[in-house]
Amino acid sequence: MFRKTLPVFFLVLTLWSSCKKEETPDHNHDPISTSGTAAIHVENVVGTEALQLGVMQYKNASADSFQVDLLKYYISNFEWIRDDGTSYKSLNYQLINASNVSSLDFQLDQIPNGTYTGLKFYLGVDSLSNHTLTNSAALDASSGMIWNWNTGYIFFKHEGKYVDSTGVHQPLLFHFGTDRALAEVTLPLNNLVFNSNSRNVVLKLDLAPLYGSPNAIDFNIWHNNQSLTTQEFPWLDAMKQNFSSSFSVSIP
Amino acid sequence: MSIQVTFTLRLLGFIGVFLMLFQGCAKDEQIVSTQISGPTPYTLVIPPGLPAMVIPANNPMTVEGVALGKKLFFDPILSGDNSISCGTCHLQQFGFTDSLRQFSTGIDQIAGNRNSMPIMNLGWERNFFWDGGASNLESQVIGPIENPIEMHETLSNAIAELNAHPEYPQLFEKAFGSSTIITSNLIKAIAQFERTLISGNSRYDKHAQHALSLTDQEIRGMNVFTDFDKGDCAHCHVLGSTFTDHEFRNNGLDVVSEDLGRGRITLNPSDNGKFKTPGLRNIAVTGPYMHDGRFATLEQVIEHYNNGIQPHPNLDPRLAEMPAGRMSAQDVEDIIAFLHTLTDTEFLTNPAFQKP
Ligand code: HEC
Ligand code: HEC
Repeated sequence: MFRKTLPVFFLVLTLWSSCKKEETPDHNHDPISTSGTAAIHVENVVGTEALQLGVMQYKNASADSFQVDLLKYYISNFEWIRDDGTSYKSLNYQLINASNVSSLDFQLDQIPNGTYTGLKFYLGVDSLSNHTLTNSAALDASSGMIWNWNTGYIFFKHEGKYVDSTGVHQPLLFHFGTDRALAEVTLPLNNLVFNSNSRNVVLKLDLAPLYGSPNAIDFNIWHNNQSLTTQEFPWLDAMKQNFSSSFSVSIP
Repeated sequence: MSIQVTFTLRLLGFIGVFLMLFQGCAKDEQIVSTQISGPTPYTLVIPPGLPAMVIPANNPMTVEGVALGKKLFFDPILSGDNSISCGTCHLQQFGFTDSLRQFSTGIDQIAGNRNSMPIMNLGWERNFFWDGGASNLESQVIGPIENPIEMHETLSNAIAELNAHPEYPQLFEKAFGSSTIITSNLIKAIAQFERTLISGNSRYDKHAQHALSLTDQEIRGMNVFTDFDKGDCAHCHVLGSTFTDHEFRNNGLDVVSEDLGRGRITLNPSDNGKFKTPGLRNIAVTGPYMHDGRFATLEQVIEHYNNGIQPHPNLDPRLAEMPAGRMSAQDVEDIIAFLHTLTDTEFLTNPAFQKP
């Protein structure tokens, strides 16, 4: 009898002590960290200059002067690529807003320790999230980045002015989105090593190539654009291609 | 035998001690869990003539969610100048359509170019608006709030107003477990209420369930409705259930469609001029008819199908091949009598759907 109850007695004791342990967590038993964090900082530039909002001081490849009053865009689904072709996906959506400095810094954590040679992400929102507005956080539908009569996100918004061929200031508006517009961006990393640490990563969007390379976007033709009709496909496709050459990454 | 009994007894004793200890250490958690006990699941009652409703996994129906959605549906707080609510353009006695107006008028007294749609049996629909531009019921809600010719409110303003309101934060807490109001919970609540707006108790339904008999004329009308060579309405407005095939079709209203309809969304030219096949329940009270409300009466609607089909490039092939004048004056009267059997008085007067 006693021999039989003894193990059970110990079992009960262990259970009791294990539930006590939760009240005072034992830090000595934390697992050794095997991953790092990327602290990403986004810079919006035009050529060599940092973007300034509300000033008519930039030129696109077609030599149209333009200004930016509002610049907002989604970057999403970052993927860290290793030399051997394997990768780690940081699922995340970030809404960049040039007029809100806090939107320019964000962290991606749990990146497994190792050496990375590439960074892939998307300008836009994947089709899974793009067809419902019940998303939250960066994708909250109240952030002014949706089309409300045709369920979907505006991936990229530039509103401002340009000077037309007769010298007159005209409104400029690019609302870029829909599944067709989702633009993949892949950038080389010069052997970025994560070793249970935090690394700074600077991501730059340059509006000069965005409107110029490889496809020139002439504001005299394209200046009031919502990418929701077939007539908009030429600039949509052109700009989608330009996005891949408009981002760059550097490790300070 | 006796060994087994003692063993069982001992085992029970151990389990008892174990449970006591376990309870002792889980006590705090239990108190917490009663405090945050979630909302009460809402049981949808589906009438016999309609299929089971698929509820999206991310928006389960709850008593608190439905009640909140109803309050929001009738609250002008969601409009720019707090003057109109969803209920202003979607009135119960008219099957939740706009009264007798062709185009609904928003807060700036500007009329839109589309006729208000009934809000009933939407839990079985796949796309929303005449062109299906909203891909789920939750996402649809944002359309009218932000539309400049409807409620003309920015979502961020509406959310800020709700968060500053004396009651709403608490009601959202009860329904969704958080008193900080976010867009997704706002639209989920309204969608939950909309899913309760089920109509399936018309005279037609009672007839189908053998609870009453339709008149001879109504039966004749039902036959014209389904007759391949006469109405063939059931080809698109499927007989029974929701009375729609949930497709987008061109029913020959115009040679050239000013409103591209489905084509505006899919950007596919073969969808130009196609609109959502509307369900026909309560059709006698939801006029005027068609996406632009061009027909004031059911007589005009049937006259269109009988004599007025226009040769649009995307005209439905079935309508294209049907000869004009195939329905007699008697057929027309009968079909209209049948359409009146789809009126569900219980739905049109149910106090559960009224402003709280
Ligand atoms: C100013 C009038 C007006 C107001 C206010 C209004 N609606 Fe509507 N509603 C309409 C019109 C018009 C349509 C058809 C629009 C279209 O197809 O483009 C419509 C369509 C709908 C549909 C689509 C039904 C279907 O079968 O596809 C739903 C659902 C709906 N409204 C719900 C709402 C909700 C919820 C609100 C409040 C947040 C609201 N409406 C406020 C006029 C209005
Ligand atoms: C080829 C498919 C098709 C057939 C057949 C058809 N309809 Fe329709 N019906 C539609 C579509 C699509 C609409 C909406 C068109 C629009 O608004 O542009 C519609 C609209 C209506 C409406 C207006 C509904 C509202 O809410 O405004 C009524 C009433 C109607 N049909 C009745 C009938 C009757 C009665 C018949 C048979 C005589 C019939 N339909 C045959 C597709 C069809």
